[in-house]
Amino acid sequence: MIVVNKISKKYGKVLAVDNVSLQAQPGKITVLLGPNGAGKSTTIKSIAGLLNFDGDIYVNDYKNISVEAKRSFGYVSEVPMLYDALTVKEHLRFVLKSYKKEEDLEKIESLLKQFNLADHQDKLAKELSKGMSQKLSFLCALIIEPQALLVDEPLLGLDPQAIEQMLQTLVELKNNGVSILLSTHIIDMIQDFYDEAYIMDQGKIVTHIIKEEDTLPLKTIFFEQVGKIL
Amino acid sequence: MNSLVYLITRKTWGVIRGWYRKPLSAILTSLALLFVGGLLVGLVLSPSRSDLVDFSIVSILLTGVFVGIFTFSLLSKNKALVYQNDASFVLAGPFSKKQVLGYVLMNDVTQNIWMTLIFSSYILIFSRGAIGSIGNFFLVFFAIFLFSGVMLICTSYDYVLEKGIAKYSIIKKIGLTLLVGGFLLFAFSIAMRSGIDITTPYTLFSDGYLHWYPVFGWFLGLLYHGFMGEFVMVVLYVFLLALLGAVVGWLFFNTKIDFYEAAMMDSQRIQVIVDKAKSGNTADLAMMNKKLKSKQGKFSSGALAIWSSYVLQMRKSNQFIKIGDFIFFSMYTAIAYFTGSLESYIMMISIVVFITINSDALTYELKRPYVYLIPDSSFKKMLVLLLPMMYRMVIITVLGGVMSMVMFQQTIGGALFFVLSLWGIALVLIAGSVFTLKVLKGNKNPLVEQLIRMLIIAIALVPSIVLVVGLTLTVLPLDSPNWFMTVSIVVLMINSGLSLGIVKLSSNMLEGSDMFV
Repeated sequence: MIVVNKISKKYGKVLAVDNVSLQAQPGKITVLLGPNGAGKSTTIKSIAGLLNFDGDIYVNDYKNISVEAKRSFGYVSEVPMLYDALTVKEHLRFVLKSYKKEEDLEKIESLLKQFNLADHQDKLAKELSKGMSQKLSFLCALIIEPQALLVDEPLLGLDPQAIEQMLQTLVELKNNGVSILLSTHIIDMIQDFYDEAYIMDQGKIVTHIIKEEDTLPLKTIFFEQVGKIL
Repeated sequence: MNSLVYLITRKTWGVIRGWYRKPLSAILTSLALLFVGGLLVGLVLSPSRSDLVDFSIVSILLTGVFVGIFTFSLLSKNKALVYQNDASFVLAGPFSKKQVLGYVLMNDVTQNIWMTLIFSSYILIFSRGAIGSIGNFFLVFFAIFLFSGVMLICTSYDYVLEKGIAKYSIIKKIGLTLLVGGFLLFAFSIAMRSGIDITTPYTLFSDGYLHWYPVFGWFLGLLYHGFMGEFVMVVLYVFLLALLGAVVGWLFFNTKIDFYEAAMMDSQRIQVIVDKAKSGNTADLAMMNKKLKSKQGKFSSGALAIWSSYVLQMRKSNQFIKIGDFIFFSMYTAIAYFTGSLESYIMMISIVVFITINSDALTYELKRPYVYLIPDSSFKKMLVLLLPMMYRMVIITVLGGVMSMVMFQQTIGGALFFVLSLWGIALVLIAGSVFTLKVLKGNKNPLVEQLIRMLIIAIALVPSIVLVVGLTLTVLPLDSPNWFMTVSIVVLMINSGLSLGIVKLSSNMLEGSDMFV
């Protein structure tokens, strides 16, 4: 479970995230929506411990920057950040070992097959297309079998088939009890998949939507609240 | 055209404004400028001690560097006329070809000013003694400005020719081989006449025939006659270089070659390179055009996996020492050889360590998520992140130790003292680089970076000096046979402790840093 309690983040004089609180429950897909510059990515990066911030964040009851918390969550960045000279397979081996897990080659093979990357496993990261890089970045987060998953704009650069596949995987993870927090621009794609949503604007949470309680489509609520084109 | 002039002035102003955007960065930039200004004032106030032999070493070194840069820029495949942001505006905008070419020439002038300032600052910081007087400094400044200006115009024209003439690259290679090879051969034959020894730089610098050799010789001639105060000859060499620049500039400005499509495509490619360079991503940069070998590697557990990944990447690219490091090392070793003393060699290798040990590898990792995400202690992760810097330190200092044995007949004990002394400095330098990153939060400002590192070294030297003086006055007199070795070990231990402290203090960067934006 991810608990964010009154976090704020400034870049110089600009307040990017202003007193934000939210929760991502186990077995649920929680979505962060908002226009450009709303503070979605900054919030996710703060939870992942990549940025410093004011406030408290807990992942599975541990402070997000603790070793215990880090062991339990995976993070998928908006832009895949891979090592140009490492192959697809080496990336996964690297992540497993850095998390002090066994290099389970069968698990690696199976994940690669599932995401149609098996034929590319010996390709260097610099030889991958944008979509394949994004998939690999996603797999690097999945391979550690996280209890919580932070996904920043996961659908950018993916073809429709890959988007479908990624969303199905997120649903599978959700069904296995993983807490999922993802930020996205593509509201239509997640309408059927989300459980809870937070709409952000100008660094603040403006609405918290629980799908079971709100009958209006997410898009309608979004435009009502933000009144801006995504 | 006005809008293009406006664009260039705003861009330049934007860079300067960026340094003064945040109070800390503004203060540090001002301090760095004061430091360089102070060195200049020092040159004005100190009695002029122009030494032709010292000045000849700086001049020959500078010529060598420019021969290298000139050759590299003409042969490099990673070239573009403009960057991507410029391309979409300038190349696709409502501008005539002449306006676009004029914009490129203006860009060259701006670039030339930066290049001259950077080179001059380095010379001022690292070769102040050899420069001797403020007059000599301005002579060097002017010569660099003129020569690098010609070089940039030639590079721009070369780019256009390469895109428009099918066999140009072969013709260029032949021409360049004749020009550069001829110059080197000529210089070598002059040096051989009197035998290569510590007087060689002076022999080359003062050789009247070499000064007539096109381009590089003119540069050398300008420096020599400027130093000697022979202004008629100075005017002649300035005229020759300026004429070359003007002719190439005129040809470039009036070219009929259609370069738009190639310039657009290359601008995108070069942008990737620039972005990688800006983010300190030198590892990927070095591998961009390299054919990587297929190598298998094991990953260590926890934070050490980062080091395993680094080693595997080095093995794949077969790059265990950076070419730039090797060039610096060779250059300064050559200078020390010609100045002929072990003391100066220690000083030179200290400079090499100062220049080559930078935070590039650390910045590269800090801009990626893995180092923050790996579930291991921040201090341990930070120590692992410093291993690439330590690796470079060991390679350079051990090579220096070996060379000191070869060139100055040092004993093994002496070489060991040499290496340990350098480690003492290098460790503080490494810790200083980390601390600088923490303070600057990734805002790259080379001048400020160097200043903070120097400050940290200066502060770190205080406890060592106090302890060494204390030891010498109490238990270890200066004439003791073990004085040097004991002192170097004591300094190494103190600096190791200090460095660890600084690294520990900075390791919370891995619990969230504004570098990862």
